[in-house]
Amino acid sequence: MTGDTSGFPPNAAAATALGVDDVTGPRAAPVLRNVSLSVPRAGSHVVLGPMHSGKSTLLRLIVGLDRAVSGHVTIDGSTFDAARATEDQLRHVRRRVGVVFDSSALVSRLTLLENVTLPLAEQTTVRADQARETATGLLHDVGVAGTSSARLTSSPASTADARRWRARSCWSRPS
Amino acid sequence: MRQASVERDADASAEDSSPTFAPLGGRFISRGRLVLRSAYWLASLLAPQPAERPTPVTASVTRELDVLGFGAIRLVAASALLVGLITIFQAAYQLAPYGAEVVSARALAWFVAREIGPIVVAILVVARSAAAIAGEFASMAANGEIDALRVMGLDPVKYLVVPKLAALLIALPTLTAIAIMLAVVGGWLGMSVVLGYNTALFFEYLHESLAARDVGVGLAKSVLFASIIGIVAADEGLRVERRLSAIGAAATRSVVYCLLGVLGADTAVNAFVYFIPGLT
Repeated sequence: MTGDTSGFPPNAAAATALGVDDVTGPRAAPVLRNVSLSVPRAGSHVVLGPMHSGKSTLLRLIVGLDRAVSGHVTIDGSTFDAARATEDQLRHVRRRVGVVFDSSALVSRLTLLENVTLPLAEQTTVRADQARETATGLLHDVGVAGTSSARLTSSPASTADARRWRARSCWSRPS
Repeated sequence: MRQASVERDADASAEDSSPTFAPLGGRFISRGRLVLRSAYWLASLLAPQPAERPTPVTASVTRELDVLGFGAIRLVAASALLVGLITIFQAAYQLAPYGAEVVSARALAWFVAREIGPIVVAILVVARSAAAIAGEFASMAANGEIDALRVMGLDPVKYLVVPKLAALLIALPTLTAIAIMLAVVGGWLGMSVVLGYNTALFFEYLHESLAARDVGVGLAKSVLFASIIGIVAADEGLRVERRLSAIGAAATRSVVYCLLGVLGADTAVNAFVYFIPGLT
């Protein structure tokens, strides 16, 4: 499949939230070849395509979950080599992105509140009680309002609700 | 205008790209990396933690200790008693033609502390927990939970592998000590109740033959076995990448490789200990 996936002029770098430059991958079995695109800061955008055309693979390459053969990715002004980025570089970039998985991807061994609190407690310098307060606020923001403490401390598997995944994906207030 | 080309090879999708069986060299490299990362996080776990920012890993270790350690006590206790009985009967049967059945107590003490205690506990823990660990991690990988941790900048080894490994490192030596004691009790039951020998004589022979270094070697082996079980089972589980169908295979492989690893390590330790003067 060959097509235009950008639709945005290359000189709009300043207004670009996400840029993909000549990415080929993933390394294990490349299904994307020389993909380039840029996404402006404002608005909502979708990646559309038939099944197995590489949509999920593209998103995984962007956040570094899969390694590319070659190419570069720019997120919020920070560029990294999609083939050779270190975990430290990726960790820095990932803090600017919120990722919502198609399955729940909440850590099943943690409670709902712990799932949202974990990245705050481990990736920031806030105290445990502050992290807990912020996590409760995030859950409230996405509409898990009036949540009882029993529900917050239950296993995520017992309450299937996509809003909770969004709450966790916003822990770092992504760009 | 930039162009993007996407190769439409449905069979080569990322979901199907992970090989079911990696080369053996790949396994060694992967487990070697896991050992290094686990050792790093275990060391950081032992460092003092600020009270206002407790790490969730500590709570996970307690939880895992309950599942992997306390949950196995009844199984280990029952098995150790039976192993003690079996050992004493076999030894007595072999020594009976020489009129030396009572000397079975010497064989029991030495054999149970050095060999049977740690190996039986390790095999029971493999049977009970290795498949569970690999299955749990494989299921988490298939559900995207591992990816979710990585996206949040969190190392899955710290939050998933280290608690189980730490729990196993505490649980296995403890279970081994319990197994050694109960195997001796089993042997005493066999000698005194079934074979009708004097209890005082049994304990006299036991005391003569059981040295602290025998128990030390047994406990040292159990620490090694705990490391092997934790690393191998975790590695097999984490190798599964977003493929639900591979969960069962990962669990099976973890049991097989754990058993081979434990038996191989036991052989190596025995060879090492018995050829070094002063350790036997």
